[in-house]
Amino acid sequence: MNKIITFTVNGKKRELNVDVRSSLLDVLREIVGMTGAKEGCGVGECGACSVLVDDLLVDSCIYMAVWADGKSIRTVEGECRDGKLSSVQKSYVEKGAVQCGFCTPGFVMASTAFKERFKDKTFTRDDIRREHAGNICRCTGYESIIEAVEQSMEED
Amino acid sequence: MHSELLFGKGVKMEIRFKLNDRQYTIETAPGENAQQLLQRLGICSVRKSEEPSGFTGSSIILLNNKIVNAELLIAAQLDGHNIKTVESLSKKGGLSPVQKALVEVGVVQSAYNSPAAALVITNLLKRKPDPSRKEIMDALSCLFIRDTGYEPYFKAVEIAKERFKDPEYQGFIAEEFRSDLRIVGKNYPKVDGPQLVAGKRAYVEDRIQPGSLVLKMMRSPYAHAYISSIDTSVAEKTPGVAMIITYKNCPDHYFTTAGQGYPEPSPHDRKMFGQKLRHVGDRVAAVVAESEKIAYKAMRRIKVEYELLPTVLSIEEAEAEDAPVVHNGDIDFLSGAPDNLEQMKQGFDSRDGRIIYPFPIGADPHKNLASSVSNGIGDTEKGFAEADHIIEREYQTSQVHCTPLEPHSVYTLIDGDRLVIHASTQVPWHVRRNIARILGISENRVRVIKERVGGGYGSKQDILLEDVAAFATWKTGLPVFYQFSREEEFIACSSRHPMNIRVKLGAKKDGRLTAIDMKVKANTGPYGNHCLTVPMNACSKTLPLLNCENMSFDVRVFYSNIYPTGAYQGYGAPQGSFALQTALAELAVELGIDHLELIEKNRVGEGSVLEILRCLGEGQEGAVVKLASCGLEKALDLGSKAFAYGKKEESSDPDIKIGKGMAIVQQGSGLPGLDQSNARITLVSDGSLLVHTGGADIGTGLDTVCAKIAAEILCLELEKTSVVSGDTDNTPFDTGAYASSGTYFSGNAVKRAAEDLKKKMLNYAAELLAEPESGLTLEYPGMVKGSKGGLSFHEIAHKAESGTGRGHLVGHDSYTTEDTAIPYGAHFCQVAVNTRTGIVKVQKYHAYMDCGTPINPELAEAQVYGGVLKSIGHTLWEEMKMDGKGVCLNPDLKSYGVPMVGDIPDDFKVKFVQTDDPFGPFGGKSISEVSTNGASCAIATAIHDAVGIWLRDWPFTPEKILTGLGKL
Repeated sequence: MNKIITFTVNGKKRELNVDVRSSLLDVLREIVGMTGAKEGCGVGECGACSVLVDDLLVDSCIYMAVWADGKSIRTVEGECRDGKLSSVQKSYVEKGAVQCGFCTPGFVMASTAFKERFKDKTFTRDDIRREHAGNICRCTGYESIIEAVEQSMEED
Repeated sequence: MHSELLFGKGVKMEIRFKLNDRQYTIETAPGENAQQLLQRLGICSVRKSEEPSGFTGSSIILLNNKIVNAELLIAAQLDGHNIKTVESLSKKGGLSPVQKALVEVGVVQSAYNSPAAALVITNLLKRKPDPSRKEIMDALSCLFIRDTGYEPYFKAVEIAKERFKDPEYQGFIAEEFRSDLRIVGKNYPKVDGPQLVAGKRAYVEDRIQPGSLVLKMMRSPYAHAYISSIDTSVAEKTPGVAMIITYKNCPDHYFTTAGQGYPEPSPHDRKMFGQKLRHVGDRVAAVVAESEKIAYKAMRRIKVEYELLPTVLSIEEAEAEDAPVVHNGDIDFLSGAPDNLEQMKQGFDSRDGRIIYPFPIGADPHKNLASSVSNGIGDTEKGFAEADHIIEREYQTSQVHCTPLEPHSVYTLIDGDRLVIHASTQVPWHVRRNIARILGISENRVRVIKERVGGGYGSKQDILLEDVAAFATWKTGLPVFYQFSREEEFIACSSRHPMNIRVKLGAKKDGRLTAIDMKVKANTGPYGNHCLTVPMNACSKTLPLLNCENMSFDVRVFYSNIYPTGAYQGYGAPQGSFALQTALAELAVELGIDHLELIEKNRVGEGSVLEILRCLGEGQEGAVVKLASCGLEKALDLGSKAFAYGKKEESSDPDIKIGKGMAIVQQGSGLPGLDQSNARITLVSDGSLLVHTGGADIGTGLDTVCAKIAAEILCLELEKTSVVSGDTDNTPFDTGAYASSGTYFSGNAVKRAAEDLKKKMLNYAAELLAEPESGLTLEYPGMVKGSKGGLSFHEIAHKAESGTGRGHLVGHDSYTTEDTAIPYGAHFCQVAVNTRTGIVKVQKYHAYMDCGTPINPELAEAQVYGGVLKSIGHTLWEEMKMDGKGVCLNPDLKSYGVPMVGDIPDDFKVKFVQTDDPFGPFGGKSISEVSTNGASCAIATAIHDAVGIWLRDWPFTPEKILTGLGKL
């Protein structure tokens, strides 16, 4: 069974005819053509598929596409504006937090959500760790990621 | 393309059908045709070559076992039916007997319609297991094929038919050459044949990812105008529009679309967009949007006001004293600026932009003179004074089109911080250089991947859409797909330069030429791409066929507001050959001597010194050549015997008059002194080979040439030799596939690289075997043999890559040359002229060709058929018709008049006369282009032989015949 849903992706309105069984991740990758979000596990454990739905961090692989009807989606592609990386993305590059890069789009969205949530608030390294607990990185050992988040919090 | 892009809001319906034995339930909506739906399901073999018309057959499918054009079916008509595409033929990855036969006979070249042909022939053999030639012709009549002249398909049907009865059946494919060689000169399946005949992903359009943007071009409705105002603000606000590009926001960089070696001989006389519009269909604005529908919607919202200018269409109008000026801009020279530059550019209009000349080409643009050159050898005045007889004739050629089945296509995207261009091009390196310059970035940031090319024939030597798609991707960061419509193929593409050629010949009574003078006037149209080199070629590929001490030529090329011109297989030679060869036939008649005898008295042969080449370099001094190989003698002998040339034939029908004609032809093999090819061959870990060549195989079989040469030299099986080509990241530099350079340049580069690898392998094997290198030899398959022992390639590669090894073994070399290898041919034809209707039927056409050693005999043969049929097409039928305002009246294949299977000669034959050229790889010279140079002169001569009239302008329509006969 198919259903027509409407949502915005990175600010652009899209009307899509989707199979009701498909995940938001599949729709983003295969129909919308945004392949930033990755499928690392398909069961919501690794966070490589993280996107923001109405600014809330979700694992898009276990989020039904039809649930996104009427909502606003943000993916890593939308964080780069006018060819310029966001402060989170820039910090990831500068701190060497991008190695194989497969988890990076999900991490960037997690960090973006963190940054927006903890803006003007005090936070500790533990807060960063806890808020990124849903994302797995096998390359970096997380230290450089935490440093990247810290650096991005100091900017703007 | 996904349904969301195709369907707006509105009615949708669910349909069910069986596709290749699998049941589908899918939604469709009004406006979608079956071809689009199948593409949506990932069946890329069902293609669109023209806006839905059913003419080309590219979208053929089997609907309940009947051949239909999917593009002519509404998608909903599939409901409840059984559909089969070519994918159903190649089950389990293997090819069907029909597909195999098509590859074997060499018709899978540019291959855009090969999947459709496989379906059509399979269906025919199911209906009629033993079809007659007429029945085969009837079945193939639904297909337009441009590259192989239809004739080899009959052979494919014959082989497939027998294979159904006996799977082991071999059958005759094509004559083979060089019994001393194992692979070169033998018939082996084209290396990319299986992929193409099976309809696998191969072309640019098969690379598109979901979410890509499309680019559509708004084009000028006027032949000559300024844009006085353009407002895109409303259009830009259309939801789904990513970018609109006009002359106001495009890069301020002048270039030529001609993909030629740098510095280009063509003037840099255009920007991506200009304020001045120079032909109907010139670029006004590009709309980049999420769907075609949105792009067109936005295009309708662009407000443009034009200031119309008087148009210049013909050469006479262009050279008139007070003619409107097509390029009235500022003028600059990168080198060799003339002393009168200030005077030349006086009174320029900045709205016309600029022209930048890399070097002088005899132009005076404010007088519409795009280029000019004159030169010669000996003293023609003296030569004419010595002549017993002089004739002077004028010939006119028309604007004809390449019409590749795959329209010009490009897909651009960003990968990391680099631009990737998937291109359907003949010139990947020139694309990279030009795009980098236009975008103002360094070339390391651009990667061009030449995909399989569905036909180029010269038109893809021009960079016609890569610039604007690349700019859109660079600016938006998003992937962009741009494909020409069939109409754009006619109005915005390169075509043959129309030429007016005056030939003056002086001869002694016995037919010996004392002087030749050629005056070429060519119409380059709106831009100067190839404006020096194509018209010069009218002389440089025709005069060197003749021994004459006094020759002169004068070439003048004019700008006008006709549709763009450029490169087309033959590159000016078909026009020049028509004029010079027909004039020779006319001279023979006037002198009352046999045509063949006149040719024999004057033609060159092995050992001739081609003095005239000294003054025929492309913008530089040429080199005099002593002809090393020439098969004209044998070609003429075979042809004249097969045709009983000179003997009159009679028809039983009193209205039909039969006549015979012939012509000798030549071309070149690349551009000595200008072209360069490079190759690299790596010995893979298990002893197999990877050949990296910059050569751009555009369907011609160049990859197969390269694989064969490498396998031959390195004594390995062809199956263990793979080719990577035409990718600017992964293969070494090559100037590209033009000027018939592939076999000679890219082939020689591979030959040298293979010899380099051989040397390195032997040297290392000597160390491993502890034997002197001089005692070692390569032995087929894949062995190094010494006096005591031997090593397999696998062992050598393995040792080389081990922890104590010498390192990965790679052979590398480049090829440049001053040596010339000229392919020759003699074309004979017999026509039947119906004196009541004026219709000319080519009954018999034989092409006897000398391409040295044919490296791929079956592919070379099919290519000659293709070249000949194209040239019969432009001689008899093909014509771009324009009204007085420069608007094309027939921008579609059918009304333009491309030849179909029913138009081929009843007796159509290609035969190679082998010569062993000392410079070509294994004696190989070029083929393909040379085959387009004979038809118009042979047919003109045959028509004269039949009914006594000379036709001197293309195409030879029934009206012109009847007018000539005094009946109209």
